Amino acid sequence: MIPIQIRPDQVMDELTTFQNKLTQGLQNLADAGDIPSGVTPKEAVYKEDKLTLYRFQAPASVVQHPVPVLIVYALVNRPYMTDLQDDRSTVKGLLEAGMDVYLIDWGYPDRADRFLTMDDYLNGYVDRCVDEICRRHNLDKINLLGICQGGTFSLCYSAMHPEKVQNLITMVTPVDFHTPGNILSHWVKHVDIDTLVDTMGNIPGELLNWTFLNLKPYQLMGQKYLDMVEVLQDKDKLDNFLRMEKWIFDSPDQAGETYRQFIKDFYQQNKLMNGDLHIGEYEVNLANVTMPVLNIFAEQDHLVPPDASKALAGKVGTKDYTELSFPGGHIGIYVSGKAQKTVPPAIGKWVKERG
Amino acid sequence: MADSNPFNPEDWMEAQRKYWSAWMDMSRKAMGGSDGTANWGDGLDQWWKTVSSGMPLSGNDAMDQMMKVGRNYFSMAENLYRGAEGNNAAEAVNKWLDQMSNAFQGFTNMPGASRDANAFWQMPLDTWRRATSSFMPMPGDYMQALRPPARAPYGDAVQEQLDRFLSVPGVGYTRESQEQYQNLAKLMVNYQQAMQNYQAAFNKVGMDSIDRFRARLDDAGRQDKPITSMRALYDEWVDVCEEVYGEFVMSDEYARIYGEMVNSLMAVKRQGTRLMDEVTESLNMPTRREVNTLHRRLQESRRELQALKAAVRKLTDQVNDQAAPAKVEAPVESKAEGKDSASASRAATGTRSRATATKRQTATTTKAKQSD
Repeated sequence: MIPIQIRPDQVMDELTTFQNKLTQGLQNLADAGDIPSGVTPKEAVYKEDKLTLYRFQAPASVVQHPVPVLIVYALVNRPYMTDLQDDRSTVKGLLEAGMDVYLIDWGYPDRADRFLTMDDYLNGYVDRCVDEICRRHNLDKINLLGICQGGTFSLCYSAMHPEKVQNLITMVTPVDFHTPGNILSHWVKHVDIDTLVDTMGNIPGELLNWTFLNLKPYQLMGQKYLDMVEVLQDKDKLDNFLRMEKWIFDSPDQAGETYRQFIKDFYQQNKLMNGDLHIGEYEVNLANVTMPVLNIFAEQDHLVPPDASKALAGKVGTKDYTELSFPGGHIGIYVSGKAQKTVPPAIGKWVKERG
Repeated sequence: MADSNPFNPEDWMEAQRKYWSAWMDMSRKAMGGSDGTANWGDGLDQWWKTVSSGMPLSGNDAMDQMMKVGRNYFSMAENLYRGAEGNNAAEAVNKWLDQMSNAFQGFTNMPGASRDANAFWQMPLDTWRRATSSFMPMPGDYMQALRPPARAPYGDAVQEQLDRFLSVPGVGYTRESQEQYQNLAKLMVNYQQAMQNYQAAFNKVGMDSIDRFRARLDDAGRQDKPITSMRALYDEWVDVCEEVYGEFVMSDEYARIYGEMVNSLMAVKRQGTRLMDEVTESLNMPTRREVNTLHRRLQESRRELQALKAAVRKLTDQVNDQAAPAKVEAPVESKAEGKDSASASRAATGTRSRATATKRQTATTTKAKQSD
């Protein structure tokens, strides 16, 4: 059989349809304006440098758990992904599940922040945010929820300050950076990170964007935009597309010294798994993670392969370790309809079971 | 004054529909006699230029990217349409793949439509140029003239002359300065070479994609699952490209050429910064090196300040804790105890970590002073 059966008039019809959709949808695109994100009402409760600690406003009808949860997001990209829109909000789901939710917004580092180290971020910023929340609630310890790189940060923090973490939740968090199929660690194998940081100071967000887009370049820089034509006529779908597009390209520069340690110690030398990881004066030993741990990973994660997250099982010191597998990708775990229904409620239930 | 606005969206939309309808009719009629110099991608470009000048969409990144991808899509369709005049779309696709294959091997200049499809394969390198141009003083394609096709008429002579020129020893008062600029030029040539190696590897992978695509089509024919739409054909092509690309970027070869490209670019930028520092220093302006020193010292001072603030807070807590018991009343004792316990625990923890932080800070400061 001939493998392609498309008549010339079919080709013209498809193009005509494509062009009609494009023409009819352009007005929607022109009218789109600024697409809001970060929808749940929140209050800034602590500020330091470019960091802001937010507390989200809980629905009056839901009884809040007495121990708040602090979301530690990655330094790459912006944390409003967790509260993207009304029907795609991990934050909203957590509030409805009875969690009292705080979130660290790292802001946009500039060249004056180049010498911020991982020690400054974890034993400085995160620690002071935890102290602030403890002070506000008159508690010794709180719950931590780390996402992606923020999950790795939360793990390190919990290993260094176990007395301040009641329960630890990690989402799509890389632990073993050398599992087969880890593209990012493979790509940086021969990159001279010292020269990169010494030369650039901070690492530009554009460079990170390039890296992430090139994980699947023909889909993310090509096919996706043909799909965009299909949603142009539907204002809601178009807004969703543009909101996600804004988030993808909203990439802060990375503080040089933190980037240096993160790439060298984690991606190149896999020290979190192999041991010998030091942050400031602390030795980071996952055996010190003795609090209950809920490790959530995405089965189709192209950025953090599931095995990279699941490696945590054999490393933490706690006997109360739970895994939650989500049938989706790295981004879908926060924003898909399925995730909204399953992930935040599961986190709320798990936390409440542990008091 | 509202009536004075000349822009009427409905009229505009209708105009666009008519424009496009006329263009498609013209394409249908002209297709038989086309000489291959104009292509559908150009038609889409022309349409977009007209549209974007009448609406506030110019500079919209998503829209620009959509039009770029649309151009590739239209070009693919054009190939299919032209070749399918004999009612054999598979033959048309084969012809298109042959053209791309020749182009990847550098045998021929591609017709416009195939060139667009080839550009699709160059997306990673194209976006690399754009990404790096945002933090380089030169545009991303500033070294295009040094690429092999541009130098081809002169063979290796250009490269040899360039190498010799860049190796001429400096003399006299400006010797050091000359060497610095020669070094910059050599590093730029190295970077160009690294980019060429990257591109050459992608050409090879492009060839592999074509072979894989042909095999995929053969499978579709054998399994009696023909492709029946333009979009399905495009999706299949993307799928194959991702598959081949995904295998390639996990190879040792890719890790090496990618590392070389990044490292050689950084070498260029570092040398450029060094030269710029000399210029700014001569103008009695702050250099990058000096600003870095200031930023580092400032950050160290801020760490010390945080440690001191924590120590003061801890001492204050201790003083308050000592004063507190006299004020506690019996009925609320258990609640107050809880609070005190929490404060004491925090204070104890704080003592531990702040003391460590102070110790750490002192060590860091000493080290930094030595390095300064």
